[in-house]
Amino acid sequence: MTCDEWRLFLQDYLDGALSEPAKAAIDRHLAECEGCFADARAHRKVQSWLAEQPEIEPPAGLADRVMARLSRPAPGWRRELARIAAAAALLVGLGAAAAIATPRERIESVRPPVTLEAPSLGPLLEAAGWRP
Amino acid sequence: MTPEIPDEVLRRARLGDRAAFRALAEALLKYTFNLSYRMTYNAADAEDLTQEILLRLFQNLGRYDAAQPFLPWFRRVATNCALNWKERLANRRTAPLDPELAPGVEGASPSDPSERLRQAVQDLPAEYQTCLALRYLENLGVAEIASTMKVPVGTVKTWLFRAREALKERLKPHMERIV
Repeated sequence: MTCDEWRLFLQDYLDGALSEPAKAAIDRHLAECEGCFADARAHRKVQSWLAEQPEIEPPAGLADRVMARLSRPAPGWRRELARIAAAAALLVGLGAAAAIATPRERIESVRPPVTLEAPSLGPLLEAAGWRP
Repeated sequence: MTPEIPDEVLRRARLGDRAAFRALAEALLKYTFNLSYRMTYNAADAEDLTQEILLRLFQNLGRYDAAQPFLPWFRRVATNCALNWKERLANRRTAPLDPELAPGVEGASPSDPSERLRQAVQDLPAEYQTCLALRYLENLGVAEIASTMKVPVGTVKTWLFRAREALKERLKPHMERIV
């Protein structure tokens, strides 16, 4: 077994997940190779430190703070609501400003002329052959 | 560390019962906080991450298939949430201009080897931290970690190896004093 090969099996070796022949092959390599032996020892030390970290207690009141956050609208929702409200206010404001700023004469001038006279039926009656 | 979740609490929480969700959150609190702490090694960040994970649980509880075991499902929700949270945090926190001022073992290094190791873990990529937390806090095997993180077993082995290798290199001068 070479130094590169044993590294492929390092995780399983540290986890004790290797078959007996594979473990024996690695043990033989580690007995012969000082560098890999030191490497395996260092990995084991780091692993032990990680595994032996004590469990810690959560801070008091954390469950209350989680439940309080559940009762609030999510920040994304709040941003969305604020955007909608701002857009609505802008539209209303623009509409009001336009209505105030437009002179009455101008409104009158853009209205289409209204004809109150009824159209003459004479030509139609003549075309239909009607004679008074 | 395996949290005890009564079936009835889980059933009622899935139906939207707030009191049941609170009971569920309390049952998961220590587990979630420790997982979060192993991914941050900072109490304030761990609290923030714990809240994010439990809020995510609340939002996703309706998608949980009650025919499946709850804890592996929750573990997936928690690790996904943690990886997203860490990515957002990394984007928010800008790098200091002077590398000497950066937190870590190279800068203002504490004399306590355990503290140096904690700082070294903080500097690892989020995926490596997740693997370490699942392996050494929860004692999961590489296949279970792979299933939780939805990556191949070989990737988990590589991440675990690289994580330990990085810690080993950073702490080489102090290795004799550790453990």
